[in-house]
Amino acid sequence: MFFLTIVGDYITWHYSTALLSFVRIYKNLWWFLTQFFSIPQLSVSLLAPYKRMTEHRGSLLDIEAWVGFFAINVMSRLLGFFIRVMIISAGLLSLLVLSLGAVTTYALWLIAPFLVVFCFTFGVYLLF
Amino acid sequence: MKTISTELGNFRPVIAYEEVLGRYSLSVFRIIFFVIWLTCVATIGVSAVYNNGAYTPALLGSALIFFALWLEQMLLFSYHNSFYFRGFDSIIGSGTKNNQGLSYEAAQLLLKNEDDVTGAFMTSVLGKEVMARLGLTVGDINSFLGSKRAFIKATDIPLQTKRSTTVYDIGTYLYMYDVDYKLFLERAVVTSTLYGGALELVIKAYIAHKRTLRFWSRDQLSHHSGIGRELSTGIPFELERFSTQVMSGDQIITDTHHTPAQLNTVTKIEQALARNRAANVILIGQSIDGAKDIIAAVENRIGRGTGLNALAGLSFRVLDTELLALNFTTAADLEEELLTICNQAAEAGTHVIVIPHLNNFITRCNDIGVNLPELIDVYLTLPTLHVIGIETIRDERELRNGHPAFMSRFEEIVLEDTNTLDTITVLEPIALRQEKRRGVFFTYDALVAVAEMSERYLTAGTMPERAIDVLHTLAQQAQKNGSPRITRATVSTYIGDVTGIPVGEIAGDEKDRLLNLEHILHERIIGQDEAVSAISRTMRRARVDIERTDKPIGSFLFLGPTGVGKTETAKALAHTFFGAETNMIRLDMTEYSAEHTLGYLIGDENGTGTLTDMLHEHPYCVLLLDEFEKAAEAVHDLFLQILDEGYFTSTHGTKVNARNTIIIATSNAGSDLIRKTTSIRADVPKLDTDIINHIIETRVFKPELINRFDSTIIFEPLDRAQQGAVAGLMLAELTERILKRGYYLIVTPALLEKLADIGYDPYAGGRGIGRALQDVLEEKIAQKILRGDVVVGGNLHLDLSDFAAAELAV
Repeated sequence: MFFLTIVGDYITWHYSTALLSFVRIYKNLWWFLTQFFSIPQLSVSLLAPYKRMTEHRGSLLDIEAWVGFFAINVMSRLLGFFIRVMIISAGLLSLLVLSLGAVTTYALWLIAPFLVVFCFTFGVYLLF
Repeated sequence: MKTISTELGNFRPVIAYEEVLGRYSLSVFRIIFFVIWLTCVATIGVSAVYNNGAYTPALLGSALIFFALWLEQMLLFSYHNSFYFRGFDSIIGSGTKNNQGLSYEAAQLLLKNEDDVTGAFMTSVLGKEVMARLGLTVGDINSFLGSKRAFIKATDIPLQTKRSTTVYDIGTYLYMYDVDYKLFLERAVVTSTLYGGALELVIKAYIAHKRTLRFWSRDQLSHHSGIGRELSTGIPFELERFSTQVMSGDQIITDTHHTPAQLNTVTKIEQALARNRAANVILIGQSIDGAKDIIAAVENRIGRGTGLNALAGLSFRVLDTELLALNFTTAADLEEELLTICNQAAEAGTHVIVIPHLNNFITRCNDIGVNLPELIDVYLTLPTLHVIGIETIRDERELRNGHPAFMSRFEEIVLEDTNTLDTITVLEPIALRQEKRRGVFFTYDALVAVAEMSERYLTAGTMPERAIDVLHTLAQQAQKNGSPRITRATVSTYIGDVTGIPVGEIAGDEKDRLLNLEHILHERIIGQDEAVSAISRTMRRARVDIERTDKPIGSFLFLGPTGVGKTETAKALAHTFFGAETNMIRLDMTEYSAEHTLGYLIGDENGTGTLTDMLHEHPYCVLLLDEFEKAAEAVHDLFLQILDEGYFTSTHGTKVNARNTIIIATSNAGSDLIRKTTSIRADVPKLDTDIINHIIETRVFKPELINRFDSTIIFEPLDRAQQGAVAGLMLAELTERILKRGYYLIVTPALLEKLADIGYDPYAGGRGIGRALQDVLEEKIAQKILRGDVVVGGNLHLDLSDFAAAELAV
């Protein structure tokens, strides 16, 4: 009797509360990855100089200083851009892996009770 | 609307399941099945490789069965988790959803015995720990549970309206509504505060542990900081060269602990730094390290993402002012370097420069020829650079008066003092860690005792650090001694050993000493029955903690003529309460009769004060204030505060603790009236009132000052018989002194009587006797020793006949 009660309760939980929790956990992990890779912050500062390393603009008449200023600032921004793009890419990739994993697990979750019964029964059949 | 019954019905299957297979067993089975399944799969793989893709159906069957078993365990574990963490967000305050219902542990407890919740609580895992924290033994619990008592049913427990009902709520309910349970606890000297504290500690620790198990929850995931954020911030190379990270003492920041009051300061700092312009702070506290601790807490919060959003990415650097001053000795160099540091930091945009001892640094720069306030003023208005100055209370005034415009750029935040409740909160997690590490156990009362006694009896260092030190030492000692249980008594013994002050349970010798205090004091004090009895009563009250704890241990105003035993009483108290007469420090108040002499006591621009130094060297002592009436009014006012609050603030702003002293002020004021009234032997209580009124009327002391003393004690003049007894005591003292030189002094009763006659002076009291002994007896002894009439080790026998009449006519 106890077994039947617990199975009944379990099945109800599996297809109601558990599915909602599943979505909540997925959202939490999504939030964590976006924060961990600082995706929003890096996206808005994509072209900013690397670690704010910049050169001051000298006199416009001093060509040498002007070129130095231009070259260093462009390089700093390019370096910043590449590193940010790399981190953002890593972040996006991890989000993709998370989403694929979530979809797979979700699908598995839906069939899990049947899978248990099937694998066990078929296993026993093969064994004997 | 949920009810207890429906909630219990929901939990019943899963809790019954856990009773068959606990959470631990569930995990073990899951791992075993998984390992076997993997082994089967690996074997299939290996046999497929070696047998041209062939494998036995039995192997595949086994793999399928163990996969099914593992999956089933996974699902059941998730199912269990879902109940195990039900409503947990509402308990830790991170969820916004209405989560009315029962927590897992509460349901488990109630289902254990629905007809006797008290019994279920006391025998549950958490309930047992609460009982142990309260110092109650299994025997105590069993005898209570076996006694005749009324039962509380599970359905009597009300559900919380917005959040899950926890074991804490059940424990609180039982204390309020189970009369027998409350009586049982009261008999075991468990007060409501102790009960609430112990209950909260146990539940809080459990929740903290449970929190770490939910790795998927947002509150756990938010502990990790992002990896890309610092890319947008710059590096101020020169600042990094001349600064260090924020460290608190020898501890790294993650090891610091903060009280609610300190967290309040943390919030204030965050708000000040989040302002758009002139977001600079000056922190004023007792110590620089205390302030650094707070800054470390701010940095920690920002790092963890729990601080204000506007401060995200800020990093704190403590300027090494010593190194700067050593490296740049000319004004031009120092100025240039400071400007570079500020420019780079402002460009980086995310740095907070912390300058400890700001006033000292300004003075140092000034000596080199750099006007720091003027130099960095422009940077203080920038939104991209923040400065936090740290200053002690002592130097803050000078800073404010010396540079008012510069100071207006800073928001002033004064570090609050820690109270006992805050200290306990800080001690709790440290105690739990020590317990785990050293295998010891603190009762909750022991933690309360550590907080209270460190505050009251220890003077070195700041709170709560000194309480933390005591806690660590106790844990170490308990581990070393092999007696892991730390109770209030353990704490009292330790504090008593360290300070020499008797604290905690009164037992053995001390109990006898307190009960026979009158007798002990009378061994040294002749007569003065009323005075001795009043002092003894006060001291007994102080020792059993009936008195307020935020005052000195005892305070007395001794009134009476010269030579009646006032000083002797003070010495006797020092001996009885602090172990030796040397623990009496004496101040001749005639030296502080001019108003400006207050500085001599509490310190002035020339240095620290006498009283400050004395209390620093002897925090546990009898403080004797001789001829108190001669002191200036300002000095009287100082003692008004000391008597009331147990501390004073020195001129340099430090708090000086006088709570571990017995303060005795002596005065000859009203002596004539005392002499006159005692000669007619008026009844004593009336005599006291008359004399005190007389002193107030003659404006010797302000009435409020007299009222601040625990007792005003009237010492009566000694009559002839009493002075004879004093002569006996003084002779005994002299005999002992002479014995140290190697001579046995024997004085006949006739000679002693004669000496008492010679010394008798109703106005000089014991002093007259002392003089007679010195002028007559000691003179004779000296002569005899010099003449060689007595050999070392021999008897020095003196009788009336040894003296010529002239020698006795002093």
